[in-house]
Amino acid sequence: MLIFLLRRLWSTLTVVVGVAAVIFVLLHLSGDPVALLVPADAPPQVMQDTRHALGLDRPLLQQFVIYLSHAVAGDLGTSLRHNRPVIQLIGERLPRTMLLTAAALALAVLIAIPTGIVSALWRGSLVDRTAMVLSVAGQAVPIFWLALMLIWIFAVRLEWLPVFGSGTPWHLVLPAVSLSTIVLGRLARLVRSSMLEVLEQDYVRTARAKGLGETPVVWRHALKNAAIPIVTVVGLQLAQLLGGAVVTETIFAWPGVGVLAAEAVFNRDFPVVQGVTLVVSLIFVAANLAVDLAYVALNPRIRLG
Amino acid sequence: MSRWRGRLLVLVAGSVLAAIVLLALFADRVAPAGPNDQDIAARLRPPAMVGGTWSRPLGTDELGRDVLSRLLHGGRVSLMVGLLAVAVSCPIGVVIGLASGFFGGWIDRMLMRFTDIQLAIPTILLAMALVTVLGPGVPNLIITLSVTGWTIYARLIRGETLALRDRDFIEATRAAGAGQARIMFRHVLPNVVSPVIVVATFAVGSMVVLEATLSFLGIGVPLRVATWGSMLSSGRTYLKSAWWITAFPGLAIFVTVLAINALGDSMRDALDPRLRSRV
Repeated sequence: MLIFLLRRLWSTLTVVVGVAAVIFVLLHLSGDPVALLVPADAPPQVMQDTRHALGLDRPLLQQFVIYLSHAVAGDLGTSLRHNRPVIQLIGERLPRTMLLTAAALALAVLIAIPTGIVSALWRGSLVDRTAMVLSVAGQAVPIFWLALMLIWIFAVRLEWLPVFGSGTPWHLVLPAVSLSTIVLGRLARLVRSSMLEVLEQDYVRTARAKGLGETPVVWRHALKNAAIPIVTVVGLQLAQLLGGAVVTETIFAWPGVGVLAAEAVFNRDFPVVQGVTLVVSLIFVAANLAVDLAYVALNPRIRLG
Repeated sequence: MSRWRGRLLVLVAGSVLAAIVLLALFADRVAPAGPNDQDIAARLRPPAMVGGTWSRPLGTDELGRDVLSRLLHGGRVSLMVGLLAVAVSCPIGVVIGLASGFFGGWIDRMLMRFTDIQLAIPTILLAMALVTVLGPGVPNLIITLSVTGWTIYARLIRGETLALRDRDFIEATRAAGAGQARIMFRHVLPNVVSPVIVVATFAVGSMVVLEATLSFLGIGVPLRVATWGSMLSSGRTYLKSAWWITAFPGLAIFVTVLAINALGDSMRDALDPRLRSRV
């Protein structure tokens, strides 16, 4: 177990450093940030001094090593646009993004699991067919369009919910519903197929033969065994959700890291783009590490190492 | 799913997709106007079915451009970008996956670690960073989408190749003196091509959506170029007064991706049912 943990931690670490390197190189290829900081008619000496002050005249590898060593200490640099520490900017907005992502994920799981189970139990029924048609449709609908249509129906026409912003739980409804569709359809279909597979197993037949009611058979015996592919997909879909949050936040003016990243890309605010990407990727790899560990809890037969 | 229902689904999805592709392809002849023809006097006219005129069946946008014409021309760009992005990313992913699975060892470790690194960066963030580097425009958008899209093929092909490389027929080919490249491309590749076709089909839909997302965020194609994403982007400001500017391009993306996914589902069932749990 310890060797497995260490090996997983090592691979997580190399992935995080790799992500930092990829983003670092990419953004440094994209142009000179100094051009955005000084007036267009500034003399070359001013440009050079600014570049030197920001450390942008050093070799790329040296800049990267400095960046990484600072990042480990929690210093992700200073925003060129806001002139404030990047970690502070992210720290202010990350809870909002996490709230939105968690709400969307919870909504998707709460709808997809019962839907998938009911579809599997009543295979071929009208409920099953309707649920699966909706799931397939959900996988095809672009979230930004769904978000706009939800705004049009529920905020503009019916005036039930606020159009954008944050502050009350009502502000969370439309962004969370839009974002949840990224995973909802796929998850419901996966729960259905996993449950169908498990429900045909001998141990489920045995449980039924023993006279167990349908509820304990489904919840205690079948669902627990069907959970492994479901948990894997939830972990992997987290990257999609975090990416989708960028779009959702932009549409609903939800003050999270997604909006921060989108603004930073427009403004070529390197440190902010680096910081957001690094933090979001860190959350993703940490979540997948947690998923790997959850396997052991869900299925002790999985041998590690 | 019963066989006849499956065939009906393929027929419907295939026909819808063929119609969309043909309409996009012949947009110049079918569309009532050019994609950027402006008629300022006829701004924000509603679609014919809700009080507009049949000369502008889907209404006009904020600059008086015909929504139907932009939809047809926009479809051409959106579909072309989606198809080309798959055409570029698929071979890259296949070669990387083949090399990784076939050679194993440090090559495999290095390539798969690189795949892991890319997979850890949310696609949209990576695409945003790439667009910043390359600049806007259709060719750069295709490059961006291709760079973000190869990992799924690499992972898939690596797994399939690992399962194949020690099989008897590969051993026999090796014993007969075939070189590495010949074994990889002439003997392993044909045996792993079915799942690639299935995944590539689904990927066209994903790429159409990703293109639309980037254009919607204003970092894909320039706003004057009509694509389904750029139409949605410019129409969102007028959601309150002119819902049709955003409703129709979104519907076009939805129907196209739905048809592509339905075809992908059917192809998966026909070519490689084992993929059901993975794709």
